[in-house]
Formats: sequence, structure tokens, C-alpha cells
Amino acid sequence: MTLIRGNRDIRVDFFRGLALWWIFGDHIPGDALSHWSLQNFAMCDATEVFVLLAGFGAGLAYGRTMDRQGYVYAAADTVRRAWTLYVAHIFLFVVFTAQVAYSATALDRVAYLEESRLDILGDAPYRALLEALLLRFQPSLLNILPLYVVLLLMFAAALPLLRWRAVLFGVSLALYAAVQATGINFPSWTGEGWFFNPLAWQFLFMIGAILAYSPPAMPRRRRAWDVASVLVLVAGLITIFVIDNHPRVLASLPTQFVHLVIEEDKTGLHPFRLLSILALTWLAVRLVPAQAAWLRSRPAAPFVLAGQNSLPVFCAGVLLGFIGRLGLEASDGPAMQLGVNLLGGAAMLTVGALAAWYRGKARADGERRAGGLRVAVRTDTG
Amino acid sequence: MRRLPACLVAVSLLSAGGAARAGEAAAACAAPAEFTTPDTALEHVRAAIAAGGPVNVLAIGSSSTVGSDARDPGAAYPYRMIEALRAARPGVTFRLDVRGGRGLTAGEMLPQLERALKDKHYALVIWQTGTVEAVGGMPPDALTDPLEQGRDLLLRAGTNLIVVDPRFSRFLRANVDLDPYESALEQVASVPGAALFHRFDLMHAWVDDGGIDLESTPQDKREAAAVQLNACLGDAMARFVLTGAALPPGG
Repeated sequence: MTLIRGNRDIRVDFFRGLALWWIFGDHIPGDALSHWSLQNFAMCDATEVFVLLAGFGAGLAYGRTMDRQGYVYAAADTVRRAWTLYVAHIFLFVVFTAQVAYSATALDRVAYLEESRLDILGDAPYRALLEALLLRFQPSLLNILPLYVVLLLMFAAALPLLRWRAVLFGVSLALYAAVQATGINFPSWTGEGWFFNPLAWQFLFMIGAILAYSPPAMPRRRRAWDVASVLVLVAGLITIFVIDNHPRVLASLPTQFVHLVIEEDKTGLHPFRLLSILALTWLAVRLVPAQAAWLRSRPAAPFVLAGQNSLPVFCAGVLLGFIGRLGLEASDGPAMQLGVNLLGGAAMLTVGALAAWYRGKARADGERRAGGLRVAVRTDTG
Repeated sequence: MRRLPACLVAVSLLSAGGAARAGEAAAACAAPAEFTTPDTALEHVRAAIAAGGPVNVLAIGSSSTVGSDARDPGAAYPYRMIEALRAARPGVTFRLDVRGGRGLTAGEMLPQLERALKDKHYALVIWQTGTVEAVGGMPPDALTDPLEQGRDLLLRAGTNLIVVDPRFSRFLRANVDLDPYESALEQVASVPGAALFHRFDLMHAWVDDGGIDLESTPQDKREAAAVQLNACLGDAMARFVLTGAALPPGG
């Protein structure tokens, strides 16, 4: 039984696997690997890749289900998926709490970082638990899954619109524009809103879903799109390597313009970030043919495997991130850096391989039960 | 180098140690020029010092600034900075007010800042913030917006601003994603007249160089190490201020 499925667009799996690896590194502050993740070279980061491809995966899987079995069936599947993610998030929240409590007590640092409010659970434990269940309390680094849950619920409601992609695109864009204009956001416990504003990020998710469900024809003037995409990425590089380091080079320009350039509004998915991920997507489509041989090569296989089992790998990555953070907290020398990244990567792959094996097993069991008839048993949408 | 005496004082407070300990402290305190050179001129500070004072300084921040986490609030780094400034410029009057409080966000400090500005004109405001927002997972805007409001208010009032970022700690780094908030602080401090003091990186450099490392200091020596840390920070900040005012730090 092969663990990697080949009957699909491997590019999506590969890039999703890459994003998961970046997210793992980015989620361990102080990790040497995080200096090489996407955010160091582009105005967007692994979150954008992950959300776009999550939308793509959802559009493909639930769109197909809707075509075959109708809206209610597909929406029910989507909601079940959101529920799975919600439970995973609550589990990770408990682990987070245990980790903070462990490192604060075992390492005797309670007094030193009182100000940090990491003792928020100690201050108001019952309230904090309730707020966590309501997704209104999202500790630092635990904010992607709540976003994903809400995006899937929004998608469940928007499913029928997939068939009228212009309408879905228009509604989604209008919501995104409303966020840019007014800053409306989901409420948080502290009253400041979510770190990742679902009302803004849904636009990227829906773009992914539309691209998967009804891929638009390739435009005629492809060179122009190539040039525009490269320009966007070059502008990002200039911002990162020149302007961020020497903000005074813009001192003579109007303040408003400067703000537009250097502002890194991740919460509301700043238009520059959106443009960057779309430019990267375009160039990936142009430069990487679906049949590219290297996608099926041995070095690419770990990423493809991770990308095909993204939910378990993602959750394992967050969990392993906690352990990695404890490791780097104890020592951030080269040996620990190497250990954290090698063991973390290996463990994520093991989880991916296990998930793939279980999926294959479930499919085989299903076929056996159906007396050799092929029955589609879907346990995961990737 | 007026840095040495400040550290000597700190060390003699810690222990009756002799010259050997002083050498250690100086090494622990070495702040490379990149940390003590703001990338903007602090014109209002320069003017106030040139006039012989009084140089009114307001420090606003959370517990490390108000000293609520130490037995003696007077040991907090803003007080140590003023002491170092007085030592460097004996003829000039420096006055310090401290506002803020433990666990306050920048948004909660802004009204305090506005009230303080109504009462007095300051040549310099030190604003330490960011940790509480980062830990609470708040959107970085929650930090940027009040800081920018405060900054514009200060620049209009003829006051220089030094933003101070979170302190380095492995515990904080392990549990909190500081990057978006650090970018927010950099953004706020990227206009002329406002500068960012990189406390996180400076403290990290001290830890890496085997200097002051509160977290690996045994419990019974931690308070003494905290006193030394504040002296070192205050000293580095004084040099930062004097360099920004285009004055030689040594007097």
C-alpha cells in the first residue's frame, strides 16, 4: 500500500506540506528554521498559503460532494469537519495551558513574568475556560485553528454559491472591503478582536475554493500577469530588506503613503499581503506544471505526504511546537536547534504516514465490507 | 566611559565584591553602539540639556518600568537612567515622573499619558509596552493605534519619544509570538523624533555573551541580579539619550 496518493494535483499537496513545515518553525519563537520561512522573503507567510490551500481543498472536496449528493449532505460534512477542528483546538488549548504552567512552575519563573498576564488562567480560570470554548480567548500562537473553524462554517453556508462563482467572489470581496474600510472583527475577550479576522481572511479562503471548484481559463496575456506578479514580489523584497531596516528612506514621502507600505496588518489581511500570496500562486501555477517530475521525487515526498494529511500533521505540528519551545527555552544552542527541527520534522512525518495508512486501511475495509465493490470511503479531505 | 562607575555602584550594592566583580559587571553590561544609537535626532532633549535643564522625563510602562516587580521601585531602570544622566551631565537638572502599572496595555496607558501631558511639558517620554498585548494574543493594531496617537500628541507638544520593547526572557519567547508586536513598535518609532530602544535584543545579547541572565540566576541571587540588570539598562538608555541628543555620552 503506497502512502502517497497520486490521483490528484500533487502541487497543492506539496505546497501545503511546505506551509505546514514553515508553520511548525514559525510557531517556535527562537527557532533557527523560522529565519528561512516564507515570511522572511515575502509580504505574506505560511498562514496565507495554508488558508488559500485550505479553501482549495474544501472547494474540491465539498464542491464535489455537493454535486453528487446535494447541498445538505455537503454542508453537513463541512460542519462535521469544523467540529473536528474545534475539538482539536480545545485539546491544544489544554496542552498550551499545561505547558505554560509547567514552564512557569518547574523553571521557577512565575514572579519574573507576572506582568506578562500568562497567568490569565490563574487570575480568572473559570472565565478563561469559558472564553476559550467560545473562541474569544486565543492565546498567542493558538489562533489559526479558530480561524479555520469559522472559515469552514462560513463556507458551509456559502456552498451553494460555488456554482455562481462571480456572485460568491463579489459577496466575499464586499465583506473583505468592508473590513478594510471599517475594521469590523469578531469580538475577543479583551475587546480587541481576533488576531486573524475571519471576515477578512474568508476572501482568501473563498478564492481558493473558487479556483478549485471552477478553475477559470488561463488568461490570454500571461506575460503581463507574470511581470505584474514579479513586480509585486520585488516590491515585497524591497519592503522587507530595505524599508523595514531603514524606515527613514521614506521620510520625505507623505506619512499616509509610508503607512500604507510598511504597515503589516496581518489581522485584516492587508491588501499587500493578499496581492503577494496571489502573485506567488500565479507564479507557482506558471512555473510548476502539475506533472513536474520533481514533485514525485524522493526529496519532495515528505512535503507531499504531509500536505495530503494536513489536519493531523498540522495538529501534531502545533503540539510538537510546544515541546520544541520547551527545548529551546532550556537551551537554544545548535545541538538543541538541530534536535528540535529534526525530531519535530520526523515526528510530523510519522503522524502523516500513520494517517495515510489508516486512510488506506479504512478504504480497504470499506471495499471488503462491500464485497469487493468499490465504495468511496472518505475519511479526510486533506 | 561613564558606564563603569554606574556598574560599580550596582555591584557594590550586590556584594562587597572587589575589583574582580567590577570587571564582571562591566563585561555583563557592555552595550554595543548599535543598541545605544537611535536612528533619529532627539532635538527636544538636546535643546533642554543645552539650556541647562530642567530636562523633564516621563517614563510610562508596565511593571518593569514602574518597578512593581521589585522590592525597591527606585531600582527600576528609568530611575537608574536618570542617575546615569545626572552623572554624565552634573550641571544639568533632570526630573523624572513615572506612570503606568503592572499589566497595562498601551491603550490603557494612553489616557495616563494624556493627563500627564496636561500638567507638564516633557522633553522626553519613555514608553515601554507590547508584552501585555502579545501575551493576550491581541491584534497588533491594539498596540499600534494608541501608540501612534500618543506619539503624534508628543511630537506636536515638542517632546521626543523613546519606545522600549519587551524584555528578553526565554520563558516569554517560548510562550508568546512577539514578532508582530515588535514590528508594530518599529513602525511607530519610524518617524523623526521617535526612536525604538531594543531592550529585547540587548538583553538577549547579554545572555548570549554570558552576562546578566536573570533566568539562570539562582533564586537567592535573583534580586541582586535584577538590581544589576536595571543599572545596566539605565546606563545603556542614558547613552542612547545622549547620543540621540548629539552629545558625547561621556560628558
